[in-house]
Amino acid sequence: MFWKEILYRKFNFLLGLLGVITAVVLLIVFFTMTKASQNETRRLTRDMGFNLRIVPKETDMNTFWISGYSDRTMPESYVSRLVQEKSIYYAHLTATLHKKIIWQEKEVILTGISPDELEPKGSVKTKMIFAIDPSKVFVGFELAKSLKLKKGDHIDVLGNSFEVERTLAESGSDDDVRIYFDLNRLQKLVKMEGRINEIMALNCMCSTEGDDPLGALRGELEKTLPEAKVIMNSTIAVSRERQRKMMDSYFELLLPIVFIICALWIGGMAMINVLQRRNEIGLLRAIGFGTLKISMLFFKRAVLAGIIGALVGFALGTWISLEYGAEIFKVTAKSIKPNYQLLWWALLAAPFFAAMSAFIPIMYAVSQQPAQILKED
Amino acid sequence: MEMVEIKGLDKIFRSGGKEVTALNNIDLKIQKGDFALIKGPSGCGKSTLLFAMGGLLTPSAGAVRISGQEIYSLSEKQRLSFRSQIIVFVFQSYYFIPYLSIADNILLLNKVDGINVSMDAIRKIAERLNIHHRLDHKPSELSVGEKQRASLARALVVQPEIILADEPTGNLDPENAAEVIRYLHEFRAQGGTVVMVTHGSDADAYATRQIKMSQGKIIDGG
Repeated sequence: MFWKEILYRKFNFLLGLLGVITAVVLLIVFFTMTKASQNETRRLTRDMGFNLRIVPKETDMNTFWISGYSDRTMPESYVSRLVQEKSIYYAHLTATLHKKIIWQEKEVILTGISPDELEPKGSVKTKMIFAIDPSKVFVGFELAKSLKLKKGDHIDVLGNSFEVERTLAESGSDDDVRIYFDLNRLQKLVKMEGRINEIMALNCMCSTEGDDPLGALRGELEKTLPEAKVIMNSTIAVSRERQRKMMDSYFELLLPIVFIICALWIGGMAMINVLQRRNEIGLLRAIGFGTLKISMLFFKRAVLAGIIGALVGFALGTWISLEYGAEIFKVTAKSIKPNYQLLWWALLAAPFFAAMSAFIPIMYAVSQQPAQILKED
Repeated sequence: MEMVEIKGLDKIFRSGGKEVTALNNIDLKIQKGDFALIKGPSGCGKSTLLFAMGGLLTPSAGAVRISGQEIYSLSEKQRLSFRSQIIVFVFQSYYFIPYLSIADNILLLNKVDGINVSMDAIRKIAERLNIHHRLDHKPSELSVGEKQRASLARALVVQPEIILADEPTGNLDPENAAEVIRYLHEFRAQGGTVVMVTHGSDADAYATRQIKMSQGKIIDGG
């Protein structure tokens, strides 16, 4: 009876199904695209290098910007305190120490980098920094060029000899006049054991709520590490993050509207089905069908539309995301792929959504007085 | 033995703030084996009385006893179970599910608790009513006479105690009407009870009693 009725009134069933498919497609596209958008933002940010600089709170910002680093120091243990926090806002925490000296009649910055790149608890990420052997150094582009230094050369810094392991590519910043050391080695060299003057980090820009990621970050740091402050490079990543949030808010506005329209559409189709089957309801009541059996006729129909709608909607939504998502998210085009977890969610949610949309027509069907129907004809 | 006993039955319909009294203080007894005709002008409450008698229309007041059981004091489930095995309806418009064959329409009864109809039983009844060759057909493929005989087959196959027929010959030509009444008479002759609402006089010859109604009241034969 169930399948024969659907075949008999296939047009009505297909129109109802269309409502479910529309809702599922929208949801699948939204979630698949959101994931790609997050990946793209994360990737852009990561490709630009560290964008957060955590420095001692009392740092004079004039001096900081002129010299390129904080003239104050803080204990290296601050990194561990940050790591203890299960934060969502930053990653790739790296302790650094900077010291400006005159070397070979040139002003250079000695930079010590901790070989341990730390992540907030529970987070596992790929490394962004390189570890430097304590007996070796990396030399910035400008320094290497002017002093004609190359890999394998030995240089003397503050009375200690180091082998040049690598000369760096031109960066167009003060990095070009730096000599990079292992952090502990430099701390000993400049007699600042256990001290650092900057923690570099990466804000992934993917999970911050609201439009003010820096504000959120500062708020978080204030709680965890009140002795420090954070500086963020406003970059393309911030714009990208804002664009993503704008897209999210469009969806947030659009999703309920489309869902309401789909629910009304499904409900409308269910009501037409109930009205078409009034005589059937009257007859079934007359031969002894109770309220539950009558309502199940319609609920089963709605649930079937939900299951088919979830499968078709997932396939269609995924296809749309793969086809058009690559155009929008060029950097992470390859990361747009079918999310089968969404299929399971759709298979749970769509039948429920369809059944709830058809709830009022079903209640109307079971409230029909058989005598009234059978007398009317 | 009283098959149907109705006492002080009222049915008031409320619509748009207005009250329409369809049944007004009806008292009626129908004995087992009766072939009772309910007659009266359109809108006098004949069908309303029939549906109330069959447990399909809750009255505003009064009591309906079928085989001694007060049916409206039962829960919906109990009432469905009780009446589905005792009472069957035959309608003027037959009421078949259009996408099911005649056999499937009758087999639908098996989805009702307490009813178990075999295909053999359906074939036997269908042969008796001369519609056996139509069992695999859709209702739309049957003539009106065949449809009403199929509807009778659906009623008789559960071996009810009482058939409540609402103008079953209203759409039929005299020949088919006579045939339907003959089957109802046969059912009554085998110990069943028939209550039939009608405008015509086709069944007068078989009726054991006639009840006349006007404006929601029984005015004769109650």
